[in-house]
Amino acid sequence: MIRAIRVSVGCLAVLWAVATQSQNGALTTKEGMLREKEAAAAALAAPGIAADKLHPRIGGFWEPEKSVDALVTVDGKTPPMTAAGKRLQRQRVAQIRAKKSEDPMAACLPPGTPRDMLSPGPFMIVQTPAKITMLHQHRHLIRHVYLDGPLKLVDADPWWEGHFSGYWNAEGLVIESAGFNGNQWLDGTGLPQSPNMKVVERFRLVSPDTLEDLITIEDAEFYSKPWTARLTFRRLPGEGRHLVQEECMEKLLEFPLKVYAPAE
Amino acid sequence: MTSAEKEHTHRSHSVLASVGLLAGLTLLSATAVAQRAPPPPAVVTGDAARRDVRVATDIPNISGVWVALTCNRSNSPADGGSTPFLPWARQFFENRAAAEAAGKPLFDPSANCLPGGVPRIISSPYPIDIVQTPDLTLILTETLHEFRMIHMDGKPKPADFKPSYFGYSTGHWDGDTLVVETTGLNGYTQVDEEGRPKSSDMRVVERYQKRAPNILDVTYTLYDPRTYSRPWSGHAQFKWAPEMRLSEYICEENNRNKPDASGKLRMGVEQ
Repeated sequence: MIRAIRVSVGCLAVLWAVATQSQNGALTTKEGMLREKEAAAAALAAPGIAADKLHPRIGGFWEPEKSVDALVTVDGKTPPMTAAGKRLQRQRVAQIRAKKSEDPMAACLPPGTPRDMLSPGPFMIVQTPAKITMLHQHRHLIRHVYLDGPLKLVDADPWWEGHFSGYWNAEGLVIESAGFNGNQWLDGTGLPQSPNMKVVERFRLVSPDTLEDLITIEDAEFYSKPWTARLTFRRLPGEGRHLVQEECMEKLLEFPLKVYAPAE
Repeated sequence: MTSAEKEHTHRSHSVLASVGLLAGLTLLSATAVAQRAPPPPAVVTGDAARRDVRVATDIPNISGVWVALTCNRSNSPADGGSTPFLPWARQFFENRAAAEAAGKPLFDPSANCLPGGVPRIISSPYPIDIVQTPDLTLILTETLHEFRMIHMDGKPKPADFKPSYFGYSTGHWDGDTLVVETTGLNGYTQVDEEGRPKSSDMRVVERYQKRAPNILDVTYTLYDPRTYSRPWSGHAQFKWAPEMRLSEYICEENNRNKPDASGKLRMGVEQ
């Protein structure tokens, strides 16, 4: 019985969303129209075997248009930092120069958000109705973005990558994240984050084969106002492409791995 | 009326809505949907008990989050028989057991946060999330925050494939069973924590089948004539948990040691 109700709510939510699309010419022109509960129920109803036909096709293989070590604002400027932010970044840059960097990525810790989007090499976006999954060849990183609507955090454990929730709006895909542990750097130059950081990413196709990620960082401890960076990715051909398993920890091993079986 | 349409007439409105949802996304005009009376097309059937949707193609839907009901430190043969070790493999297994009993466990790549490989990943106690697309079945594991790509496009493993922890997997449907064949494994990992070894020649055939609407059975058969005198099979089982979300999983945070001056993690164990 409960199951039937869940299916029912989910379907109503999606039908309502589809109806909204027909009236407005685009699905949910206002962000946050899909309430978390309804979207979650919709996710239950459509766990997603079929390709997502409703939304722009961001699924497939991509790679960065250019490698980015330092995040800057959309107009190419240094992010607006507080004194504390400047101090911490200066300290990190000095450590990098002294070859004493404490970049968590050097210990194979996860790049978190948004730094995983700075990963070099190909990545895949898997687009299904209930979920967006991002798979990076680089370190075999993975992002699970359940399309549960605007993020609502209650007693969330602090995570390196934060907690995500996604939804579609008229422009494309929105991913909200918060609940960070504050330990990761935002980029290779040590831009800081605090546990109170909030990140909103807006993915959209600027052409059929170009994907844009506008990343807005809000973190009053280290930044004097919210700022936005822009990353772009180019579509890669090749359905059936395999993302090679790149494992970060191999280079930290005490001794090289050897196969167990004796040679024939 | 087709048999599929007849089937629909016996289902509740909620299921009709569910079916209409997928159909509506692809087939109906926006106007028709706005009238909220999408007739379900014959190509799609749903099943209220399963809370999922069966698409026109005869591909069963096994997508979603599943929690492990089995967790085997020791992956011994599911038929209760003894493990058909070849001599070197038995020696390897017994050496590890003796070292562990003496409180001096030998090196295992998974202790360095490297994947346990196939099939060990299947007997992990943490949830998996299966995502199905026409060309690819993905098994996303909470364990190590990893992913396996299972190629459903019918193409063989590329000739230049470099052996890896999860190898190269191809899949096809045999009736209601997803059959996954994996080769290209790197031979660095063990079948289980207890220390059953494998060679890089191991071929693993996994069979994923819903035993009940919410229960997924996985039987894996290991073919490795360099390690075992005959093929043998293990078993894992999962329960569907659609409300569950995969958690972050950071093995590296448990590294009590920092890399030393040469950049290596010293664990004080022998290989």
